[in-house]
Amino acid sequence: MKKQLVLLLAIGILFISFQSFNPEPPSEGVFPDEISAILKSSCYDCHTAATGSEKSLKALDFEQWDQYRLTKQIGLLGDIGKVVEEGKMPPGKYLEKKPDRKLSEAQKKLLADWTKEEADKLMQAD
Amino acid sequence: MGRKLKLVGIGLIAVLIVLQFFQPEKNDTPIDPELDMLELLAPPEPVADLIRDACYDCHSNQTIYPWYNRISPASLYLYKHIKKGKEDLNFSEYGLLDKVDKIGAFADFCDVVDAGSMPLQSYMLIHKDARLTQEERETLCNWTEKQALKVMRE
Repeated sequence: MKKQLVLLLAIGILFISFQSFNPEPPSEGVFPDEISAILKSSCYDCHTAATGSEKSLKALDFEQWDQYRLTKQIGLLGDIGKVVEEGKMPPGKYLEKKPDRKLSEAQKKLLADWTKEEADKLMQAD
Repeated sequence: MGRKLKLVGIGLIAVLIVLQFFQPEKNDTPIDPELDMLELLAPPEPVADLIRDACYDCHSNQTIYPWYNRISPASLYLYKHIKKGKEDLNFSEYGLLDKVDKIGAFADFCDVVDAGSMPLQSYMLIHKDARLTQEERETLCNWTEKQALKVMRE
């Protein structure tokens, strides 16, 4: 009877501890919805594995965001802000094919502001 | 046929001779100790030597040129590489970067060295000092990660 109780307790503890290992779906909820929507339409074609090239994924793979270490994330946020503000991304060749993916000035500002806030936040997080 | 070939040969030589008169500008601006990364951060000597030998020719304002830079089109080839390298990262202007870019530069530094994509194969072919061993790559990565975290906490 005592043995059974110990076993039950052990199973219970095991069960509870598994709850904290419940993985979140990747990139779901990582970025604010508003930002996610912009990234999805203007960036994910090349910067997620399903449709991206090796080169663009090597530079940045949004699905791997959680896997990047803190310093890398901060650097990437800086890069995203810069290329978006300078109009280097999305690239002209891509926009020739999909002109509707061009970022509006408002979207650019939203993204750039977010990258700065997020980078600041991450720098504090350590 | 023989005459045609001779003409082509002479033409080619003429082009090469003319090319020698068009030498690109050299990458040779004095190092500003207020801005240069190695001057500012003064890493341990072995780390500083590695960075100077393996990176500074294309990622600083001071290139130590090989002899063939006197010959065009080799000089044009080097000029292009150095220009691109400095656009990506110029250690001589490290002090001008903001905090985020400094952190990003160190993170990318570690990544390219760790992945073996830097130094370039073509560069290592000529420059023995730039052929980094696995241990040297780890040394560099450890140091750059430490710097990135240090900048973060500043």
